[in-house]
Amino acid sequence: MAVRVFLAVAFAFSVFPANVYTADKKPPASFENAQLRLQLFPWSTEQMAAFFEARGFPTAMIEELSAYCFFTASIKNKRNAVLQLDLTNWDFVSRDGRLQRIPRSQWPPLWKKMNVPLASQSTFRWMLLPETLHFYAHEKEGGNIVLKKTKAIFSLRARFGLGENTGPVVAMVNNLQCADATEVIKSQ
Amino acid sequence: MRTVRNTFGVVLCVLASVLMSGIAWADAPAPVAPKGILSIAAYPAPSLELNDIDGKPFSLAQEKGRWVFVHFWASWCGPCRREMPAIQHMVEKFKKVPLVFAIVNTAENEDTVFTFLGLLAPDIVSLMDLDGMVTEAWKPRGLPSTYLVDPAGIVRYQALGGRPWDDDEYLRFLTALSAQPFTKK
Repeated sequence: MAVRVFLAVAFAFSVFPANVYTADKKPPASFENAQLRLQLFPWSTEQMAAFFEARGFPTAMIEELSAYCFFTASIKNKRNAVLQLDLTNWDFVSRDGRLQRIPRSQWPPLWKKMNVPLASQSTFRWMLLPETLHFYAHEKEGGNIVLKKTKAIFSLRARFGLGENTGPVVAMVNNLQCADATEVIKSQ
Repeated sequence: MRTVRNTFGVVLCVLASVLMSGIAWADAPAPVAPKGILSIAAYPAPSLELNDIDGKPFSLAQEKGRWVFVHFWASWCGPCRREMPAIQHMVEKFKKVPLVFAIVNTAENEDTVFTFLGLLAPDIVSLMDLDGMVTEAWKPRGLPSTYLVDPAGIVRYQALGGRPWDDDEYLRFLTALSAQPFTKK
């Protein structure tokens, strides 16, 4: 519990969502070119639980969320023009195939069924990366990506739109792994 | 007679120049927004009726006639943490400027807000969007998010992410905006 309290405090005072580092201060998995910078920070189940506990999320909600793998994505548009984010153009792929990303629309019915308070639903919603967003010139936004938990090492291929008559820019991030991958291995 | 005519001429000139300067003032272009503050396609501000942390009610609709700085934040958001002290400095500097501040915490409880602001911005009195529904209606791009609502209740500007609100450039802009005469467009 003490560890959780410590982590909760650490997270409360961290620089979420733009610059979250895991406890071991590993540098984020990232991609950068002239058009954008994309960084991914994995969160362990314990970190997530501590964060949500500190905000009074119901235990059942926290238990439900522990079955998933969380990454905070930080995106900076380096262009002088719009950069289009559409998460349906993000593919997480392991050697065994495509991984399932949990879209924003999947959560509300579940929270409703579990009678999760509106405040917790709201906070959870704001922590997610929007499904679509047109980044303004030099805008930086961040938020969480949720995947089904896996022990696999995987890659992200993220396509961003650049507007009319311009092809997409593709960001590749390799060697991604859920923060709890080793625990997943132990429990399987 | 000549003196009367001269006096009349001077009065006429003064009157004309006052009128002309008045027209020019009313038609003055909007001040140039600093980096990160976007002039957006105008739309009517969504409803914003909340109690502050002390239980005092606030209604955006009651603030017509003045510019309103609407800001959404949460304690878990890092940029909000960095930005809040700058907002407090700005509020302190703007005590005599006719700008209204509606600083809205998104979906957190009094204890969390009290602790957070106590550490970072003790003079800020936040509005409490306890269930997050007001924030939802405003549809910010993320947190923190700031809107500038004109005296007619129209959203005119949006700030991207956290901004250094106490920088001179931002203070000048907000001062100039607040000083603009209000004319319905």
